[in-house]
Formats: sequence, structure tokens, C-alpha cells
Amino acid sequence: MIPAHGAFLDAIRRGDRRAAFRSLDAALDAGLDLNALYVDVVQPSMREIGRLWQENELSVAEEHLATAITESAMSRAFERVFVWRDQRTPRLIAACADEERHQMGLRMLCDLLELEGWETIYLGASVPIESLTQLVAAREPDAIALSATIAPHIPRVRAAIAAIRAMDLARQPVIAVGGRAFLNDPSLAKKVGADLTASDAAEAVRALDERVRGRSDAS
Amino acid sequence: MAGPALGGAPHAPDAGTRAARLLLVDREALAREVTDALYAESPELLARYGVAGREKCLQDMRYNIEHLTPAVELGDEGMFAGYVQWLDSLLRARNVPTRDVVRCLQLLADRCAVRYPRDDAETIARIVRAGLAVLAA
Repeated sequence: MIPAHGAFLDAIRRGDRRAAFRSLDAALDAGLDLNALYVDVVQPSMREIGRLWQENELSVAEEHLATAITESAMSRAFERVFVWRDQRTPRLIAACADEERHQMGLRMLCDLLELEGWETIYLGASVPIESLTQLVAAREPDAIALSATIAPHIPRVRAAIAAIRAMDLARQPVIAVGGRAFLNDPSLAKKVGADLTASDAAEAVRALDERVRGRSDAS
Repeated sequence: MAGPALGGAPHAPDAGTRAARLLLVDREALAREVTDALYAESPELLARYGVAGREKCLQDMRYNIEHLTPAVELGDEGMFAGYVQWLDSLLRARNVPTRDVVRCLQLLADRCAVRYPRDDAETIARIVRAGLAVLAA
């Protein structure tokens, strides 16, 4: 475990926004890139927050506070490392289908893809399927990322994928799924009709880059 | 670990899909029946957890059925077993003993056996048993 992990976790656990910002600043100053910051600092810290809630060490309010601080801290870190450039392809839409509210993994994915030159359209939590398909028709993304944390949301992810596959699009987007439910059982990805899944945002970036950029190179 | 692959076979509604539809429609009624049955057979629970505890139990039963439903639909024992393990550790941290979780799941399977045709009840019971097996270990 790298030291930044402990400092950040300690800060969000206490609900101390300033200390959380400072710890990520220090990690970036020390030369950590955003990939490492998200995958090795933010993600394990959030998983630990979830575990602490499960163990009744944190209340729901404290867990929400930790989440809100983390999202602000991520925005701040992203602003520090983002460099403007002209490239804006490929395009990805990221959404939590219907009831799902755990959006942070998708947010990490979008930030990391932006750094790789992708254009990302991040919709966040609880997007109705009909509304998602309308946006897909309008924006014609190269890829779509959907997230599900708990098993009851799996059927909605499957329904969303089926709805997208049934659309009359010039080219079918690559569909990625992720979140705790798929982490527990990666074989679920195929069962819901997705093209790929990944265990964290950085792995998802690699897989999407390979699938989508590999495809456009070949064509 | 996973059962019959969803989307593998062409979609005449299979046993899992049929049974899952029953759970989806009856979620509220089942949650109430199980909670009523649990508190009827163990009146001391009301003393231990109070009225608020009974409401929480009802809400937890709704969650249990929500988690059971996709596992039944997919025939995925591991999915429900994983949930039950998680639920048990969550509730133990809040001073709810494993035996209460076990009893809730048993009562849920019992209610399904009363309500549904034997095939559907057995499709559901197989997944519930996978959850109970985790708690027996």
C-alpha cells in the first residue's frame, strides 16, 4: 500500500475535505499519475469505506460524506493533470442504468479515457433506459460503459444492452460493463450481452482502447 | 458456479424466468408474509428489536427478495450465496444473529411453497438453499 492511500482514506473517513484534497495534491506532487491515483489510492479507499459501512463502523451519512468528498477531490486532481488537445475520438457514453446509483467507477473510467484523448459523455447515476437509447441515437458513440453494483440491477443492465443492440445504428458500439456485481462474477458480462468487463478503471481503459481503436485501425 | 446461461438458449420463458416473475410480482406480499410469520413464531423479537426493528426486518425482506429474483432468473446459486454471506456479515455487525437470517430465508422458501406450483417453488428453493448453505458452513 502506498502512503497516499492511508492519508486519503483517513481523511475521507473523518469527513475532512481539506485533508483529503491535501493528500491527493501531495500524491500528484510526488509524481503519481492519475491512473495510479485513481486505481491505487481512490478505489481502495472507497472499497474500504464500503467495508466500514458494512461493519457498522461508519453511518450512511458518513459514507455519503466520504463519497462526496472523494468526487470533489477527483475533480480537483483531474483539473490539475488534464491537458487540452484537439483529438476528441473515440467517443464513449457512460451511465448507470435505471436504479443503479454507484457512479464513481464510471467517473474514473471517463476521466482516464479523457486523458487518452477520448471524448466521454458521463451521465452518472440512475439513467432511464429509453433516455439512454435516445442519447445513443443522437451521439452515436463508439463505446458504451454501464455499471451495476448489486445483483438486482443486473436485469436492467441486460435490458439496456438489449435495447442498444436492437437499435438501427450505423455501427454497433462496443459495450463494457463493470462494478461490484461483475467483479464478483466476470462471467455475468457475457450473460448480459456485453462485449467486455474489467476489474478496475485502468484495465477498462486498456481493454476499450484495444477494442475500439484496434477496430478503427483495421477498417 | 453459474447455472444455465441466460441468453444461451432461445427465449421461451425458462423455469428461472417464470419463477423470477412470480417473485417480482409478489415481492411486497411475500416480504409481509415472511415478516408476519417470523414475528408470530418468535414474539420475543418485538421486545428485542422494537417496532422500528420490525419495519427494518420488512425492508430487509424486500431486499432479500430483490436479490433472490435475478439469481432465480439466471439459475445462479453463487450470486445469491454471495449476497447472503454479505448480508449476514452486515447484520452481525448490527447485532442480528445468523439464526435470524437463516429463519427468514427458510420462511421465505416456505411461503413460496404455499403460494406457487411445485416446479416454481422448487426453482426458488434451490437458490435459497444455496444461501442457507453459506450460513451453515
